[in-house]
Amino acid sequence: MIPFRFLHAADLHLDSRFAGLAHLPAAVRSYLRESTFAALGRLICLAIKENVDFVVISGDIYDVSDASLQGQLRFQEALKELGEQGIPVFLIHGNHDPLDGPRLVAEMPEHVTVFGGDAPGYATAHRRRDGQEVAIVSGISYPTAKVTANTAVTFSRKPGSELFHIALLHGNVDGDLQHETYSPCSRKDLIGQGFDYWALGHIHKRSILYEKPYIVYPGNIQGRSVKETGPKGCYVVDVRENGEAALQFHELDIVRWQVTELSIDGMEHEAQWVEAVERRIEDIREADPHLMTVVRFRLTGRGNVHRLLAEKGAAADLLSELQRREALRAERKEYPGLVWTEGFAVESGLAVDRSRLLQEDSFLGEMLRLAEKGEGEGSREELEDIISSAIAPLMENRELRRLLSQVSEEEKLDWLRGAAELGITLLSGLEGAGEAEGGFRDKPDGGRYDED
Amino acid sequence: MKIEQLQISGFGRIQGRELALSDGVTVLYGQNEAGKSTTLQFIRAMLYGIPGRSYPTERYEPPHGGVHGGVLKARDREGGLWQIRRFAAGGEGQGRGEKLNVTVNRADGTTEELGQAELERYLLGGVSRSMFRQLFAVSLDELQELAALQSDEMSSYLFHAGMGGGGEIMRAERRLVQDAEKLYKPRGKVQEAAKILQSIEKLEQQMADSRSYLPRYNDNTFALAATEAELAKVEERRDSTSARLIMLRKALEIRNVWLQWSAARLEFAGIPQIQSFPEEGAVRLQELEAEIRSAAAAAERIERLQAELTAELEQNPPDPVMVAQGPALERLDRRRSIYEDRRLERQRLAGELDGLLAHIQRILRSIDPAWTTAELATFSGAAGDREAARRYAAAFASYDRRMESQGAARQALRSRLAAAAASLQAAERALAREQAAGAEVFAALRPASAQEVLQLWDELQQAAERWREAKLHGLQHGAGSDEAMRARMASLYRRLLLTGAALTALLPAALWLTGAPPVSAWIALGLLAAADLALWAGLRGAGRRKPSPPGYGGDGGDAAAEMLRLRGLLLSGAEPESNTSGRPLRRSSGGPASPDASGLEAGMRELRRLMDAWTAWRQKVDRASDEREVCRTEMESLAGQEQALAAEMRQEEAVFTETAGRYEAWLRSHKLPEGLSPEGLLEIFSAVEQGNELLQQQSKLRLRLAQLEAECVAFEDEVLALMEEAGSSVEEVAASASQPEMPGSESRAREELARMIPGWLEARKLAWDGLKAELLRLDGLTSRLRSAEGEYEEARLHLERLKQRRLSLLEQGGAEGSEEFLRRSAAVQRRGELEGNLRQWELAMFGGWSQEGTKGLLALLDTLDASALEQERSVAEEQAATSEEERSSLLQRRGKLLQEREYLKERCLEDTVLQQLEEQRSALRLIAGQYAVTAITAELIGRTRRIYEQEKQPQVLRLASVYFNKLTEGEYLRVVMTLGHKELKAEHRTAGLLDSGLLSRGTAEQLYLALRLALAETMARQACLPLLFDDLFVNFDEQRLHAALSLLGELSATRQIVMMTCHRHVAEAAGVLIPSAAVISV
Repeated sequence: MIPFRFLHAADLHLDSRFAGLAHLPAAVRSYLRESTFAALGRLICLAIKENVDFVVISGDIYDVSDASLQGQLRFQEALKELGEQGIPVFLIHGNHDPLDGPRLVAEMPEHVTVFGGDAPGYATAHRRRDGQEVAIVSGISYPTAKVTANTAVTFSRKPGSELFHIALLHGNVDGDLQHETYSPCSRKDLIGQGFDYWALGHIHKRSILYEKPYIVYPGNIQGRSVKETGPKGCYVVDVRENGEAALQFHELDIVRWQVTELSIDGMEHEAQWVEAVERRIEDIREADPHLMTVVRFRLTGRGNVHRLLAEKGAAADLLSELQRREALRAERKEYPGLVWTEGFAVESGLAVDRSRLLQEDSFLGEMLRLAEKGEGEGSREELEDIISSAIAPLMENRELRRLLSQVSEEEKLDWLRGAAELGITLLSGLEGAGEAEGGFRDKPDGGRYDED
Repeated sequence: MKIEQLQISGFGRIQGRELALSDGVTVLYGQNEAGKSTTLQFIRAMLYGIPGRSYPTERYEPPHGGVHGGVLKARDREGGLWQIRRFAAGGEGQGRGEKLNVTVNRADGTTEELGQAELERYLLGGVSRSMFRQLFAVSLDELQELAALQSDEMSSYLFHAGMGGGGEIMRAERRLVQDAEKLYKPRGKVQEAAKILQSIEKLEQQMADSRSYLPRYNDNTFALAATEAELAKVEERRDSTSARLIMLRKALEIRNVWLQWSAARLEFAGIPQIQSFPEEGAVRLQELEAEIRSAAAAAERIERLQAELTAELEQNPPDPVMVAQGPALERLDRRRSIYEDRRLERQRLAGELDGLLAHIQRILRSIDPAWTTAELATFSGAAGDREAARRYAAAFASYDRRMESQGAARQALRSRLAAAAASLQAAERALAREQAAGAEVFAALRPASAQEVLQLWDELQQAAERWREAKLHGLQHGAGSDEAMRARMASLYRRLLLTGAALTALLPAALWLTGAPPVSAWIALGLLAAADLALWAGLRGAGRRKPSPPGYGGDGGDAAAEMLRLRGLLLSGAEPESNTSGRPLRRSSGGPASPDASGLEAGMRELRRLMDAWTAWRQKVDRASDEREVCRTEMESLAGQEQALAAEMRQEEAVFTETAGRYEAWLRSHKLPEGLSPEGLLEIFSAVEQGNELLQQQSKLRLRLAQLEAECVAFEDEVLALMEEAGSSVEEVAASASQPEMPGSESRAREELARMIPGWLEARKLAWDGLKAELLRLDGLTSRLRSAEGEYEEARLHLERLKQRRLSLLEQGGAEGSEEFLRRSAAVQRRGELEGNLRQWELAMFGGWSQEGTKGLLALLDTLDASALEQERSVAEEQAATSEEERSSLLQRRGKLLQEREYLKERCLEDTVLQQLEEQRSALRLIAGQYAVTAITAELIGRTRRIYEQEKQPQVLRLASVYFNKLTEGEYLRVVMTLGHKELKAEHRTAGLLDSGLLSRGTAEQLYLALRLALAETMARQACLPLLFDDLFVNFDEQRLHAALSLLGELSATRQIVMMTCHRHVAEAAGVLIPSAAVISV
């Protein structure tokens, strides 16, 4: 076998939206928006620098739902640049950019091979240095956004060819077969097809599922939400003479996402908490000074600081302050090292003994028991009942209705948990609660839970 | 708390009443206006203060004035006794103007004074005034005030006496609802969510735009391609139409020319073609003939001129002699001024020479009449001679000086010698005089020598000493010994004088030699001389002192003998001296023979005096002899010096004589006059020098003169030669020159000649100048003649050539003669013209057109006439216009599409609507989350509350239910209160829940009583305030009254209860039902 080198990327999602970010200043927004293109630019540079023989892209180059003209134009430019360098590109369409979706009407340049949606097509890849045939690239695109059939089994080696075989497939391997609408298949299916390298796309988390043959998700090239944390990039694959492949991951992202946990245990004052948050931010900045980072804080633990967070809106205040500072950085174009705080997930609570409260015959105990019941596994109706009656006013609005229909079970449980904590916070005899009454009631039971 | 005693000093109408209350139930029974309610009010006033004047109904001011207030004694839980004294502060104070005195006597024995605040806090357990009034000290009116139960603080007790109270829960719930509504409210406009929803709506509209970019771009791409294709077609059509149009237009435009062109072509075909004809033949022929004519005329003219010139030249031949002499004359004429200068200089120099010679003669004569110039020249006056002369002069001068100085020295010596001899004589004379005088005076002294005398004198003195010792008197005075002293002084003076004299002589000399200013020398001399004089005077003084006559000593005792002996030895005559000066001495010495002491003493004194005088005299003599010796010695040395000087002078004289001899010889050798002094010699030297200089000048002048002479002669010779050459003129000159030549010598003739020369030369020069002008003119003529000859030849040749050319021209034209030539020429010219026109027209018509275009045009012109062309053209123009229009519209469309394309690209570059929408949705989601959490919390609380309301009534209500049950004797099961809505309901045994408003008056009052009792039980357990009821049971039936009283009896176990009633049955029933009750009638 002739040694060669190719680049495997997937899920570029050019110019797609960044989820979960609210109140972005224009400077940050424009940088985020440019980030997918920047990652693409770095991919091109990498391909040129590493002198790869060709590039394969396993679907989801852009989001048809966004119908971004900019994304498509920029992708065309990128392809052109690769063409100028004489690097062929093999690509398929995925669920986000199916063949029937709106696309830029443009002739694909000669060096770009787009596989169709009917059956896996074949293309021969050549080594750029001497034009020798080195690999057969096979792939299948999504004709529509939903492909429920297992297309993996339709792949087969090119009859009579001994070359290295690469399959381009967009889909979920070993996913939930019942709910899977994206070309569901199993690892076994892939191993059995006799290909040397499965270049997969669709899952944004980078993973190598199998090594003989290689079944690889390179992940997306640029994280786009807090769910897509960590370095993002592509693989450069070296195929040796003995047919073995060696994978090298290269980072391409310029904005990195991160979830960091901060426990409020042991904190007494707001200042301590603020300082901890700011220190963490500086740590992050120091760790990745050349990147912009988007960070979400998970505030955990139990302590009095929670009251500040839950009642006084301390988290929101600090968030706006932090965002204001970073926005100033962004104004100065100091994007590398910018740490944008996406938000605070308040998962903390007061220092109370929940289990004891649950046992107690008190209003709060009763309320917690109620909440607990809602959280319970077998009481979905209870939960739905509570939540639907609570958010009934929201459902009157179309937009909110649409939005709430997407809310997951998990999120609802979070709400419930949050509500229970809020209830505890509000009802656990805080100082200010009885002040209006004057000296009439000498806090008969007020401090009870604080003593635990 | 328990009230033990009331002391009502003055309250309302009660005055000075005391009441003791028991632990359990106390019933105050009395008639109307017995003061029951007043007592109730009194207790309230004691605990919480007497109400102000603004509440007159509650104030209970005594109607007739007097003390207003009283004392209340109560015991707290710990057993402390509280004594509360409270009096209204007279009439002047407003409101709370009261005197309060609270004293606590604790169980441990301590006593403390406290205020109202502590009172309320500790004794009353923090129950407020209104709470006390509504719950503990209740009248019937207040019982029926349902509102009293609806205050927040109360309801919280009603709902949940446990954690935090129901009020907190309600507040929490309310707050949650508020928070939630701040976030979102259906159809709200100001909530955050609403704002976000609005912006989402707006963004969604924009998003429709942004989503349209891609399809629009695609459409644009299609449309652009279609437009391009159409444009290509239209342009093709337009091109063909415009080509045709151009053709037609051209055809129309050139039609007129074309007509001319066609005609010309026909004419051209008619003219015969002459193959070769010289270009511009006719003109050239005519020109040639004209030229031939003019050339012939020119030749003739030149010939004439030639003849004229030749004639003039022959008429004027030049003078050859003059011509030959010309240059020489010019040269001489130029030198003439120099020549004249030279002559003048020669004359001047000759004069100078004469003067010079006379001068020399004078000098020679001044030196020596015998001298001639030759001697002058030979006398060198060299440096050696001059040196010799100077040497002689110096030798003579030094000789003179020496002689002079030596003469002076000799003179000085001689005078000094004379002075020395004089001083010697004086000294000798003085000595002799002294000796003579001494010998006279001291003849008494026997010893001849001075030493002897002295020795004897010493011995005598010693003897006298001895004698004096032996005999303290008999002192004798001997002659003083100042002789020796004087001698010493004199010698000292002399030495000084000598030194001074030596200094006087030497110092000035030394100063003189060392070059000190003469004044200082003279001053020194003067000073020293003065010193010498002083010394001299001293010396003289010393010398002049008369020696005192020697005294004679006496003798006495043993020593006296000795003394006498010595005296005898000393004195030559033992007997007195016969001298005037020795007289007193002799007299004092007394009798010599008597050895009497005084006589001895006197004798000794006399002798001492004598001895002193003698010593002085001796010294004087010595000095005089010394002086004499000195003078002698000096005189001798001066004499010696004088002789040495004389010898020296003689020697000098001899040397001089020799030198003078040598000088004479030297003079002779130099042929100089005898007896010439060396100084005079020097004058001669300078004269000789001058003479020699003049000689040199003379020779120089002579040389110059000779040179000038030669130059003049050379010039004159040259002129003469020319004169001779000139011939005729020479004779004239000679004639004029010969006349003075007769008497004069040759030099004279020459002089004459020289005088003539300038005149002749000038005349001759003038003649030559004239000739030169003439020659110049002739030369001009000759050259003109020569050029005329050349011109003539040329003209002739030119003529020949022209003739030749004419012939050849005719031959070329193929004509026999000029006429024919001209005819042929005209034909050729016409043809040429036509050809030119044709070509011009063709060019005008088809310039810039291709072969095919031309053909097409010709075809059009041939086939179509003017009107047809016009028609065709308008048709084509229309076509062109339409296609142009189409094209421009297409171009416009293409431009628009391109613009749109750019616009789309640009817009999509800045398009962040989607992202913004996503952000807004995120924000909305956040808010929804917050809302959900808040709402869920509210929901949870609400649900829990409902559970409480339905299943878990608060303690108060449960207690109230129990009491109510008892009061109604089981008719009603329980009391229910809905949380939040504050609706009090009673559950009837059979009728179920009934709203409190629907109950009968008595039942309602029982319900309220039950509630109050429950509340009182629930709250303020620490204080356990007493219950004070003012006739509450008026509306109770008997059974229920009994039930109530039984209940109160139960309650009184833990609480003091005071009931006021005006009904006997009530009082009695209480007494029956509550055995422990104390009934007090008032």
